Amino acid sequence: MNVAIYICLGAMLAFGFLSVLSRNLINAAISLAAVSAACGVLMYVLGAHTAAIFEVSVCSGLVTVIFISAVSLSNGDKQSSAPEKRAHLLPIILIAIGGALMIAAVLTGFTLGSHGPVGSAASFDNVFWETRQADIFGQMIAILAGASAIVVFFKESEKK
Amino acid sequence: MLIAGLVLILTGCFELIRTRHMLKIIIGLELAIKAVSMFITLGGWLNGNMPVAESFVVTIIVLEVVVATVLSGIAISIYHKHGNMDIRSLRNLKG
Repeated sequence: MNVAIYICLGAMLAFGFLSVLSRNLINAAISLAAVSAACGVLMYVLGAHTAAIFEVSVCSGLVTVIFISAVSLSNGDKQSSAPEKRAHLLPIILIAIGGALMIAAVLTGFTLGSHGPVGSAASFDNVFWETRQADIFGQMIAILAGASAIVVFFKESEKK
Repeated sequence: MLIAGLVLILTGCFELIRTRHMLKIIIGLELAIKAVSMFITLGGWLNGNMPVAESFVVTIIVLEVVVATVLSGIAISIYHKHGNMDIRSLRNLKG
């Protein structure tokens, strides 16, 4: 289990750096999809099965399709993707921060703890549909707002 | 996991600061949100209360998709109007 967790974390970090450092937007979108897939596997290993399925299907699939559609609609937008001068500093800074955090964790004896006792016997269905109903209404409102926004944007661009 | 999540959040924030391209800004935002989702899952695992953590993560995923979709729509609108996806073009908005 620990090996799977470390592999997923390493994949998330590697593809995260790649998505940030990549100058090609398609490569960045695909790297972000790989981060989502690794995050989904991590969630599955930790026991969040439903969230893992959502993560892989929605974040790794739908969001990637949205990005690639946006890139294709803008023809890659090569004007704005000029090379940034500070990009080469990113891995050095982040590795330094990660190393400093690891050293601090070792020196202070920080441990994450172990898997805690099961707090409630309620299943995900009970919690999601009965206890967290306000979340469902919020999600419905957010989805409707997003759909309305997209309709308005494309209607305006068609008029022009 | 905490360190990896923090580094991912910093990566996303660094991207938000570094670039002015709207799609890259969305990518940075998504990276940071993924790390937060991972933290919530980890909290549920440590706490032994995974169903609540899962419901929060599902809510975050839905909101993440809505944010990505709306921001992509804004980026495409900016591209049609100004010919680029520079975030500074938003300053020219009126109304």
